[in-house]
Amino acid sequence: MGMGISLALTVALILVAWAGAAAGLQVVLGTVIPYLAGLTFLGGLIWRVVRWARAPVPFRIPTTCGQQKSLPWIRYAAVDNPATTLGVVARVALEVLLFRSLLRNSRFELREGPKLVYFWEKWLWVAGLAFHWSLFVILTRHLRFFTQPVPAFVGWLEGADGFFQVWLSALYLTDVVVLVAVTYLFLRRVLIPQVRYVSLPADYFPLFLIMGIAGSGVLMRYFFRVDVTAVKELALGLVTFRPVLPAGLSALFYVHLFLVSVLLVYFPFSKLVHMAGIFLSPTRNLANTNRERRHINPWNYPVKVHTYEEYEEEFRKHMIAAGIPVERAGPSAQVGIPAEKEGQ
Amino acid sequence: MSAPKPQELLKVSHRPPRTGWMDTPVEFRKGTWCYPGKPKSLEVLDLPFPRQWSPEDEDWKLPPNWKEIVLEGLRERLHRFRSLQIFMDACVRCGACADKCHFFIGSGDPKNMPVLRAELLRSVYRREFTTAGKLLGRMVGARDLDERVLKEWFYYFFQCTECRRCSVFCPFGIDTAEITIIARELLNLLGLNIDWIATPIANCYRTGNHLGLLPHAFKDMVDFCVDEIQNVTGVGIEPTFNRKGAEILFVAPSGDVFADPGIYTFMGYLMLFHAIGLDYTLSTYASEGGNFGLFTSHEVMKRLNAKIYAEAKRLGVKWIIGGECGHMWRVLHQYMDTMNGPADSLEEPVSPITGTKFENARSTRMVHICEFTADLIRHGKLKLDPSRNDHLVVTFHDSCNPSRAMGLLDEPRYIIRNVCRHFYDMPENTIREYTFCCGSGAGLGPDENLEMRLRGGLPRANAVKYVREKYGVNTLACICAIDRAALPPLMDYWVPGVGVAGVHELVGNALILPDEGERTTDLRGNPLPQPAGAGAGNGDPGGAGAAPRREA
Amino acid sequence: MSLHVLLSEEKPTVVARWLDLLLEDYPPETVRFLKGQRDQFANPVGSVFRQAIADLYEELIGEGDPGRAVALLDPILRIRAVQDLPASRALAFLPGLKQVVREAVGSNGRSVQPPVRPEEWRELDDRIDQLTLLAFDVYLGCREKIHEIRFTELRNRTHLLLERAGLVAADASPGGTPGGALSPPVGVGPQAGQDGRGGRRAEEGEG
Ligand code: HEM
Ligand code: SF4
Ligand code: SF4
Repeated sequence: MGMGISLALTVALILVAWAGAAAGLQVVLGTVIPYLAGLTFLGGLIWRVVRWARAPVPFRIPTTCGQQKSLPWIRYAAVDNPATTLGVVARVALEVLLFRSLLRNSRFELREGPKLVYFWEKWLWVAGLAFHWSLFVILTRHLRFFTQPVPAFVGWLEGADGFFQVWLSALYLTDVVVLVAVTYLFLRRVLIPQVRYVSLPADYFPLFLIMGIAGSGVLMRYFFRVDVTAVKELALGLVTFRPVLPAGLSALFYVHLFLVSVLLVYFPFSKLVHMAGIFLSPTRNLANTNRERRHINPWNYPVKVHTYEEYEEEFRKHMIAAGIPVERAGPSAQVGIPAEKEGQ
Repeated sequence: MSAPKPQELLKVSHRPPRTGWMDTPVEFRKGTWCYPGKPKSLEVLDLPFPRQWSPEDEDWKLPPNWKEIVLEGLRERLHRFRSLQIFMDACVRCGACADKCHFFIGSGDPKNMPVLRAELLRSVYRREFTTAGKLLGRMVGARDLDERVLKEWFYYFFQCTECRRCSVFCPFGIDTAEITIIARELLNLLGLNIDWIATPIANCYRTGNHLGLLPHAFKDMVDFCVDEIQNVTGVGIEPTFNRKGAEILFVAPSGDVFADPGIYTFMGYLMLFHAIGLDYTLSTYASEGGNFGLFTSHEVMKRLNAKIYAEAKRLGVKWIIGGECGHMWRVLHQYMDTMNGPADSLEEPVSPITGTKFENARSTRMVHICEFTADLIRHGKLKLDPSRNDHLVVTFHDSCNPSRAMGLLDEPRYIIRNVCRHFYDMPENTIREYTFCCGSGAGLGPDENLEMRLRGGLPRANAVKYVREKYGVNTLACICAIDRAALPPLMDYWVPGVGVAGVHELVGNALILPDEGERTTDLRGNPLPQPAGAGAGNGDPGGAGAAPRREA
Repeated sequence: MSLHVLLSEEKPTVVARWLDLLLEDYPPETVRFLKGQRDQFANPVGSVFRQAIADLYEELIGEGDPGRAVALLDPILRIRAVQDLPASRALAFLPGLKQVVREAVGSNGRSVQPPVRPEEWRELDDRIDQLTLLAFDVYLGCREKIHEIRFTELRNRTHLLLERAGLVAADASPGGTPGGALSPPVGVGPQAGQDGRGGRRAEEGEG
């Protein structure tokens, strides 16, 4: 079972980190691995994107999801079938920020029997958006650890996110949302047979990993409080290339950090690169101006064609007999090509 | 031997064994695959490994180094197509596309879910071209390429009509049609094509059109249409062939020239051009707008498509009009200019009747006839009597390619609304960019594949059935020659009583020719509705020229 | 208590289980879609099955009018007939109803009710048998239709026209060879110009 393997792997990773922290390998867990992971992440992602970007886009193949721009009096779908760069930018932005195509899943109505009922099938879209936006907000909040002074917007974000007070500290909404959403995405994968059928171990793994990361984070924040100043010291040390290992950080923290490192390493070599893919997808990021502006294929090569001359050579007799004009009356042809209509 | 008791019979579970998709090999059962390409056809185009073989055979007579050929082919294409790389890497298997494919909806075969269709190729890609796949194998969904996999490819990539519906719903725009196109290219490297594609491309290469009509036969077929027009309208039309110096070259899908009911559409084109006195010519050399090369390989597509610009140049025309056809327009719109352009010998298209500049076709210089006609109607240049179509209650099928690879959605509707008085669209999640395929596209239309086609066409037919029951629709209009061939049997089976017509057939019916006599029948010879009770139409007339011009 | 009353009371259970039985022919990945997607256009197969099974059951325990039964069987079997199932499987859900009904009636503590008279069971079984036989006709009708379509597709399209235009010898019979000699609707015929029919024949005819 793919899921089992992935779960076992995640648990094993947690145990490794725990054991490492217990065995005094803080240097490895707190410095060496994060650096290696960061390096792999950056290098891997750049390598991946460069590889994609190096492959040419030989044809302009947007998937058009609305009326084309043709005659001036027909209104065209400027975003779903863009004819301008602005339209393309809007289209990609909507995909990235709102998962617009995923939203299409749902507009349908149920028309069974005489009643007209609206049917909501947007859960994937909702959970997907909630999951990603929460991740994004959480990631941004983490800037608090990596910057000094902390940029103002991080503070605002924390204020907005930590709207609810629980046990004297703010409960971040995104912490709850990300855990709920990732659980939904996981359950969906397991419970919908169609989706389970296409799922690979590699699909469960990042979900478990993110559950692990978010879970350990939540534990540190609300249950086994970690020394935030120490964390900040470590984090600042890492980004300023003056690594330090403050004392008093719990094993839980090292588990968290280790799982993040694994995610970073995993990222460029897995489906997580979808983040970059969406910006480069030729069905979404090209304008449908195919007939207006010629698109160049860098490897366009000459091909063997059946020329008109060859064609006429083969069929000249028939053409002449049928009164179809020819370029060259062949030797065997009768003279007097039947008159052509107007002109030449 | 005793027969099982009914109860026992029922105990047998019909569910397939619960094996993962990688471990479920295909079974070639009759009615689900198309006959293989004949060696003679492959030879015409010098395609590799022509031979006699059959999908049912154990031995496909593959060349000994077939694996190398395929993998080398894949490597080459990964370097050539960014689309392929991204589509291989970016899928998160979210399943949004899974239930959007008409073949999955109609057949229930999980491997017809677009995501799984793509995984068939992706699994091999991972194994051979990604580190994770090399090291971790199945964990990351990688598997070796072997004959079983190859057979699976043949089976399922010739069960995709390249309709792009899945691509509309994918959050990353992953287009399984593009994957199918490239997978078929790989199969073709081993001579694995189907006959319904291989022979038409061979014909088209040699004679200029898919059926293999020779120049004089092509002309005969056109003359036949001309005679029919004369019978119906009393007007004699004299189209020209291969005429140098004409202003416009007109290229139609050859299906319209000889196939029922395409010919009525062809008559519509001819009548339209006659009515406005267009200076145009047909070509016997470029007598095919369709291009089954699209279903074979980019190279074959280019080789066949080259004729259109070459002929336009030879004849010295200014620009080109293309007839109603789906995949033909995918090629013309998204590939032609890039492959065989620039069309330097041509000029930017301007309608000689209305003066409209077709800015959207400024570079390719080829205009869709629906754009051309919509413009004519808008400028009031056509005399139309839509009451002549009053016996038709019309709905419109958006063909996949004009919808999802072009966006030609409102032009045909505008025309229909002006030439018919009873028009009703199908439910919104089955039209426009959400349109359902006819189930026979991308070369999957042979009769041995009929059951698969009926299955794949069910979602389309189901929506037609709805408007038939609700509004009494009896005519399914379309702008595609494949549709005109594929939809009649589909209707016959699922929604009897619905006929299929090209949009320009409807135009032909409504169009008042300058010199015509009294018409008593439509183009098919059906008696015209009695013009009694003027204004009886409760349809959905819109725009200019919708009112009947001819008094009772 | 008569069986009839039981059958009406248990309708929701029976219909649900009967639908499950019908769907057993599809892989589980698909069943969830067929049952879950309720949009009739996004999921024609599931919608037709759901509606028709319920109506059919109603008809069965109601008047049992053969004409209406046929009309209700038609949409189900029209789909089953093109789904690559042998006839025995395509129709198996009908005799299977007997078991479904017995289970449904037997559950919910029904067994302690005054027992149903055997004649009542027999009558129900007879009706189901009747339905099965009707279904056989409908199914065959669909299969025949498919063959007829295949045949007319061969003839209608290219053939009649080419014949009318004198481009094909009258004896060029449709079908037969792989690729369906005169089949291709769009005139993408594998025949012409390649194996001596169609275009080639025209060439010989006129040349
Ligand atoms: C530009 C940024 C991104 C965009 C537009 C994006 C978009 C999407 C979409 C549309 C899906 C499919 C729907 C869903 O399952 O939610 C998805 C899935 C997923 N994304 Fe992202 N994503 C982005 C960045 C990330 C990042 C940074 C991660 C971090 C690790 C991530 C992790 C995932 C995971 C794990 C899934 C699979 C969920 C599942 O298994 O069901 N994504 N993404
Ligand atoms: S919708 Fe796109 S990302 Fe989701 S499974 Fe399908 S192809 Fe993959
Ligand atoms: S392109 Fe069309 S036929 Fe092919 S997988 Fe996608 S939806 Fe199915």
